Amino acid sequence: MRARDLRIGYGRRVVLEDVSLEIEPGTLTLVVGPNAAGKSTLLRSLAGILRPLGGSVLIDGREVHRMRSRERARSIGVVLTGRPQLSEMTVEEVVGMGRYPWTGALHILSRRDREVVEWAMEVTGTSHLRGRRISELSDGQLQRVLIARALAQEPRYLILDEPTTHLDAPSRIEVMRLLRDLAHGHGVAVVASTHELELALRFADRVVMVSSGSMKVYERPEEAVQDPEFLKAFSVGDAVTLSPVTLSLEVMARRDEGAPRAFVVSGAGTGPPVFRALLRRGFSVAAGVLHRNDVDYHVATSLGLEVVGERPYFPISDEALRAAVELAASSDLIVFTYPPIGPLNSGNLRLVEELVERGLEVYGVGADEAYGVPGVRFVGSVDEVPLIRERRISVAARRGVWSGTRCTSSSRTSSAF
Amino acid sequence: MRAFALPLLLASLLASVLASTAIGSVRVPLDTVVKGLLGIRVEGLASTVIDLRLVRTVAALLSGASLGAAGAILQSLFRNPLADPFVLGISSGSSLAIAATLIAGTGLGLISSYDPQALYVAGALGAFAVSLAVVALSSLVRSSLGLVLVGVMLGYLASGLTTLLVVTSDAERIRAFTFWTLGTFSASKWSVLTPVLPLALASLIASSFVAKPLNALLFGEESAASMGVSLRASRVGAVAVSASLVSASVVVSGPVGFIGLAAPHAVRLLLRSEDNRVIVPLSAVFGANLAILSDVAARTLLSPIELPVTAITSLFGAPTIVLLVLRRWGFR
Repeated sequence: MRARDLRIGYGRRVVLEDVSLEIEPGTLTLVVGPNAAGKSTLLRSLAGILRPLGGSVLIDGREVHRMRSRERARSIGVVLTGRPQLSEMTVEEVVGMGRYPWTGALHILSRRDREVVEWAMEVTGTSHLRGRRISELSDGQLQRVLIARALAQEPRYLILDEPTTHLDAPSRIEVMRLLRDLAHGHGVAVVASTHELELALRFADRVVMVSSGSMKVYERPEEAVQDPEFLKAFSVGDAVTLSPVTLSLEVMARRDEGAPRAFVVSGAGTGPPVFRALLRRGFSVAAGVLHRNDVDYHVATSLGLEVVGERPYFPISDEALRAAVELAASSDLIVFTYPPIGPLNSGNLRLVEELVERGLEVYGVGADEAYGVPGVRFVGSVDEVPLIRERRISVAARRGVWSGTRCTSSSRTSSAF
Repeated sequence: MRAFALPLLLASLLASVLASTAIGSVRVPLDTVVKGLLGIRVEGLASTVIDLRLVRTVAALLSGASLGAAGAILQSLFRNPLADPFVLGISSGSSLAIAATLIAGTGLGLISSYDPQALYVAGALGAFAVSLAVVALSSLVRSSLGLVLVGVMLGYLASGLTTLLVVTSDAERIRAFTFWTLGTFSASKWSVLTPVLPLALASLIASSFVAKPLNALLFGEESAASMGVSLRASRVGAVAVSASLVSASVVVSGPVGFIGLAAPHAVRLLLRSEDNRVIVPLSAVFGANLAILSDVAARTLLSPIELPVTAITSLFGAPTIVLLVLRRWGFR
């Protein structure tokens, strides 16, 4: 399937221009983009149910929207959004409707038709639902049944509009897996739109971005991630970061100049839960010293934290240590998360010792006190740090005042804090 | 239930036909009725009575079957549970076209006052025109209730015009027409019935061919198009078939209300299915049944006074609509 110089939209309103796209069999192409950017319009145009304003969509050199609908239905299967009004139909009947372009005027299924219906139900994992009525299905089951119906058309191309919307988390993954299996295992060319960026990047062979009137094709999801323009389409200001390594989205913390400042000494995955806990409690967080290949470094930078970094696989340098001490000393709170210590990051132990020596309070946070460090006060959870505990009490007291309950005089005093 | 539905409905239809022929001011014994229906010569008064009752029974059967099938098609086409040839004004449009043809045609000497085939064609065109108007308006009026309101008003408009036509034409022709505006099986004649019967039968057969695209349309228009439905052709086809059915019914008995509404709902409840390939034909059988029983009720309830059959169908039809509205949209 090939789209050439497509101009699409409704009536006089052009939604997308200069769309050129090639869809190969056996690939899963996911179309992402903000709402109302034209994802559905693009898919409907590719499916031949919306006449393009200009250009053409071709299958084997023939224009899709000029094909007879019966013939078109034999090469393109479509699943659109919305729950169809067929509550009393059974799953088997609905999937059987997929044979529409192959059956005669009375829609009587032949043996071959029934075999294809069986196959479609089996592939989508809906065989056990065959006797159920549509009204009895969950959203996830219904979506798979509708996909089975489209598959029963035996299409070479399967086009789906927002197949994961309204589904719960496990069903979303299930549907995405199914689409990938259909592409890779059965050679169908699958094109689907979604507004779930992370899911799209994890499952797609190719990513198409539709945003503010234009379209961009990335041959690999990794390409998309590295394109600043791609991220911009999904960002709120510059607040959203997308990791090219883990393909996960992260929202940067808002910087608040007046916020109390915390410094975290961590590493090897012990840091992120503490970073997040502190950010939730309104702290401006800094971390160090972290190797640039450490997952903590990765998360900290994605969250927009200030980080003292070190080159991968090099021992922590004095220079980095100095920077960390300086940053920690100017913080309101210092937290140590008991990272595993080896030859390359033993500098962090020296860092803590130095801070303790300077008379600064260092709180140990973790499931248990993995190893003792002289001068570090183990408190377990971030919420047990005195500074945070006081703040929590004052917030609770304030809430008590607002809800009209009586307050003791002491908590009223602390609410002034 | 599904397997039993057709034999059950057919058996009850047969029972209705027998009852309709037997029951009335003069009671005819059942064995005589069966003899009469089988064409065995029956002596004396019974023969006349059987013939008279048979005409209206067949008229009711034809009319009811046509309306039942048309109702099922319209409900599916508009995806509106309240659709019905009478409610949407299609029957009245058909009636208007028939009145106009009758008055203009006989006035100009083009047709004799009872040329059922000409009237059927006119009625079908009238029904088709109103159906197209409803289709056009349905894309503007998004709500199901709004569409019904539009249909009811179109119906009033058509019957208003019909009344105007009838009142302004001379007395001779009025008499020829009044029963068509009323909706009754009491004035049925073999001379009207016989030519329309094959037309109605052909339309009923055609109705089973529009079921397939109607089923696909349950998925929504765009999905249906993607499944291989040619939207325009199937819509025009469905409208044409239902118009033809409505016209056959109107020529025979005038606009009879609510049978087209109630029959498909009853069948759907009975079968718990939405497959139009079953719903449409069974609605025809159920509609025929309903029409015959309504006619029996119309002539026996206040005997010897004979009620218009629409009075009886309204008694169950109007509450059905109210019930459907309450169930779907509720009271707030």
